[in-house]
Parts: sequence; C-alpha cells; structure tokens
Amino acid sequence: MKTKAMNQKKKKDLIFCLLVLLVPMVQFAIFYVGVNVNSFVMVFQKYEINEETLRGSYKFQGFAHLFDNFKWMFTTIRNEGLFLSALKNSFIAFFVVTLVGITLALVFSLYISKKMPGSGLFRALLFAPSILSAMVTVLIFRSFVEEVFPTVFHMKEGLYANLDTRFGTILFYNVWIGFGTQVLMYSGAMSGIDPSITEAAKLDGAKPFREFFSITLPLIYPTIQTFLITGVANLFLNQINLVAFEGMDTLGRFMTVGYYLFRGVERATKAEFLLYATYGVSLTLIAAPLTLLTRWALDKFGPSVE
Amino acid sequence: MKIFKKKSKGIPVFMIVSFAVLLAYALSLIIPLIWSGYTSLKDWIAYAEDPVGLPKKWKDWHWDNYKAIFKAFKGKKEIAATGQFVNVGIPTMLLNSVWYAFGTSACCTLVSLLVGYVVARFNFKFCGWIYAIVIFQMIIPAVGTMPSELRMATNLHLYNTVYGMLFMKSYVSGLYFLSFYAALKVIPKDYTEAAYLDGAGNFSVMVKIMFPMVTGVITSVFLLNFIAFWNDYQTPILYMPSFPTLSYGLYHCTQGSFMDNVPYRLGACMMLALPLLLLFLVCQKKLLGNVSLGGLK
Repeated sequence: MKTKAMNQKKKKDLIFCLLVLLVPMVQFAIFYVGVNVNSFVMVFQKYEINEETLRGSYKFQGFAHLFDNFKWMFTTIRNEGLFLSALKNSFIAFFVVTLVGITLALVFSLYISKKMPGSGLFRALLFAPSILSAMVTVLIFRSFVEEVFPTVFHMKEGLYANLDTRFGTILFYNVWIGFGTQVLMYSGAMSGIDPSITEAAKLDGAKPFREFFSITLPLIYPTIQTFLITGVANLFLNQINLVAFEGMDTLGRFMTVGYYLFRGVERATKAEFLLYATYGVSLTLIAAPLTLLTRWALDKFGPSVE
Repeated sequence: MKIFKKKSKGIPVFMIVSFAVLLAYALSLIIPLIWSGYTSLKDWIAYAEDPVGLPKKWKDWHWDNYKAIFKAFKGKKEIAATGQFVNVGIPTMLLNSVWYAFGTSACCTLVSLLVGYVVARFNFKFCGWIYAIVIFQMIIPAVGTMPSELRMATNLHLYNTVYGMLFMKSYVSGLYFLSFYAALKVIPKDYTEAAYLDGAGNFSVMVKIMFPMVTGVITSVFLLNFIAFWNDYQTPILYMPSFPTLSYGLYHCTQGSFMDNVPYRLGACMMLALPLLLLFLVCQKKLLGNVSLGGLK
C-alpha cells in the first residue's frame, strides 16, 4: 500500500513538474534550440526571389556551393576592412572593461564589506547608475565631457569630439558605469564569510593583505569566476554602448564585434541575414571553446579554499 | 573610525585610499546628474554663454523646456522596418514602456522562479539536466543569433506583437535562476512535508508556502528585470518597431537635430531617469539586499 501511495505521489509530482515547465520548455525549444539550429542551417542557405510571384525564400545552397556564405563572409572581411578592427577593439574592451572593472569592484567591495565610513551610502551610489538607461547615462556623460570639461579645463576640444581620445573616453565610460552589480554581489559574498574564520586567521598573526588573499579571495572566488566566465562569453556580444554613443553610424575604428553585428542585422536585407548568421556561427565556434578553456583554467589555477 | 586610529599599517592606508577613490567616484556620478538637472532648465542662449553655471535669476529657469520636449516627441513617425506610421507621442511611448517593462519582467521572473523551484525541490533525474542546460546556456555564448531569431519570430507571427514579445521574454535567466535555486534549496523539507500531510497539493505548497518564503528574492529579481527592460532600447528597435518605448524614443531623438539643443537633450534624459531614480529611492533596500550569486559548478 505504501509503495503504491508513493508511486501515485511521484506520478502527481511528475505531472505537476511537467505542467510548470511547459512554457519554459516550449520557449527554450523555439528560442534557444530552434534559433541556434536555424542559425546553423542559414549558414548553408541562399535567398532566392521567385520571378513569377516576386516572393523571396530561403533554400539550401546545394553541396557544390555549400561554403558560399563563408566565402562571402571572408570577402566582406577583406573588402570592407571593418571586422578586424572590430575584433581588436572587442579584445581591448574585454581586457580594459572586464579586468579593470573586476579589480576596482573588488577593492570597493572590500571597503563596503568591512563596513567602513559611508559604506552604506557608497553601496547605494555604486549601484545607482545600473538603474538608469544606457541612453540616459551615455547622453549625460557625453554632454558633460563635451561641454563642461573644455570650459573648466580650458581644453580646445572635448575628449569625445577629439577622435584620438574618443575610444578611450568610451572605454572609460564603460568602466565608470559598469561595476555596480559586481560590487553588490562581491560585497554580499564577502559579508557572508564566517567571521570566526577571519578572527582565527588574525589570532594566527595573519596581516590584512594575507587575510584578503588567503581567505576572502578564495571564499568569494566562485562569484569572481562567474563574472570572468560571463565576461569571456560576452566577448563578441559586448557593444560597449556604442549604439547609445554613436547611433548606427560610428567610424569603423571604434566598432566592436557586438556593435558590428547589431548594426549589420538592423540594416540587413533578407539575403544579408545569411551573411550575419555565418558570422554568428563562426564566432560561436571561437567563443564557446574559449569560454570553456577559461573556465577550466580558472578552476585549475584559481585560489584554493584549503 | 576606530580602525583608522587603531592600526597604522596595511589596511588603514588602503582604506583611506579606497575612501578617497570612492568619494571621487561618488562625486563623479552626482555632479553630472545635478548639472544635467539645472542645465535642462536653461535657455539655449544662456547655456551657450555659460555651460557650467546655474541660471542666475528665477526667470532664467525655463520650465517650459519640458513642454517643448513633450511637443517634439508628438506626432506620427514612419518606422523604417515596417513602413508603418506610428504614434510616438510621450503618452503612447510611456504606455509602451510600462507594459513592456512590467509584462516582460513578470514573465522572465516567473519563468526563472518556476524552473528554479522545480530543480531545487524535486528529485527527478531531469532536474539535474535542466540545471546543466541552464548553466550551459549561461556560459556558452551564442553569437549573432539575431537574424535567426528575427526569422523565427516572423515565421511564427510573433514579430512586432505584444504577445510575441512576452513569449520571447519568458526565458530562464541563468543568473536569476541560480538566485532562486539557492534561496529555495535551503528551505528545510519539514515545512512542505507538514503541508502535504495536511492534504495540500503541489500547487498550494508552491504558491502558499514556498513562494512567500522567498518574496524578498522574487521582488529583487522582478525589480532588477523591470529596470533592465525599462531601459532596453535595442529590443524595441529590432523586434517591436511599432511599439516604441521611451528609451527607443530617446534613441530616436538623438538621431535628429532636436538633440543639438543641449538643455532639451538633458531634459529628455531627466524625464526618462526620474521615474527610475524615484523607484530606486523607494525600493533601495529590496534592490540591494536580496540577490546573491554562487559559482558555476
């Protein structure tokens, strides 16, 4: 009897779980699995317009022309000359924004978690920019840099108007605005460390820096690791807010890959969708192993709790 | 302040430097915001003469700048992607922003919560797979799927529709799934066992017992999602061009000559920023207190 009742309970649980998961599963099937499979299929398709009906449709390229979209992509890269500089900028943005951002966020989080003077106010202030639209913060930042700086510092040209300092200014903005969420997570993780551990270390004579590197850092390492991994995963998606800064017409020298793809898709004809799908699949083939490699390296060489 | 006096080496120096940097950072956030606030009330000519200073007399505070901004947004504009003419006045855009931010954040939060609940509280084999899939989806980047996504949305008649957008945003957010999972996993089984013994069903247990215990996390995630979707202008550009939101409207305006007038430009920014700054002031504790994040194991 008991087993039968248990089986019935398990059956009820299973039906309940499946019902609860129905919408997420359908959504996932269409907009993750479906979209990615379709993206892959598009790489081997062409767009043809029927001369009688004047309607266009996507068709398989045929085995003789299987890699035509890749040829198209490489020809575009060679002739257009934008993609390689976008690639370089994406790496620069990753190193500057992610690494500098994480370092500063850790320093600020340590200050806040130690409940030093003004830490509550700083915590709120650090997060405040995250609640505003990038459109708003970019416009305010850009106006301030362009209008106030030249007046106050008697500069001939604003930092943004000057093409030589524009990219640096955009990167600075991204670091300046970007670490609110990280500070929230790191300071939360630091506050969660059992005080008896740090007290024991102090009694053993550990200096504050030793305490930070031997106790705090290893214990919050999983959170740092998450941000580093998602940073690498977003390497080719990061637009460094260029759409808000420049609209759809930035100069090639400032583009990142994320911006290049967004701008391309926004302007693309139905036939050109295939080109951008090919870019997407090719970049995924680079980014996915790179992310896994980063995860492996962070696991292997990261600080240990022991 | 004790710690500054008590110790003289190492951390105190670090703390003093950190304090100075944090103070400078805080000022760098506050000053441009204050400057934007009063500059948005300046006359264009007065602004050109002195871009930094405050308006000198009461009559120099031009509150009517905001009327001009309202007017500038009025009227119908052609949406290039669809060839349609759409009303892009501020009331319409505000309405679009409200349904878009509320609807999509509700869908995304609910879906992440439901999946987090099933994975945290049930012991089916597929729960482990779902956990793995969510983490996989989170860390393996799918670059450049926009063409495919647009094509799928168009083929399924979800493109440029309200229900389509709500369905598209009913996805499991990896970060928030982990937050819900962590919060729900630690609740002792005794709470639910007692309810089951009293004859409660799975749905009642979930809604009446478990969800109220994580209300703080649900509210925080909802608010964070709300802020993100309220500020999102790229999704409306690509997927729902007939439903311009305020963020989209601001983006649209930056492309025209209207935004060459700096006080107007900053006024438009303040209009978009004020509701969120108020929300932040009211819900600050909810936003800053309840979400934590573990590792990706």
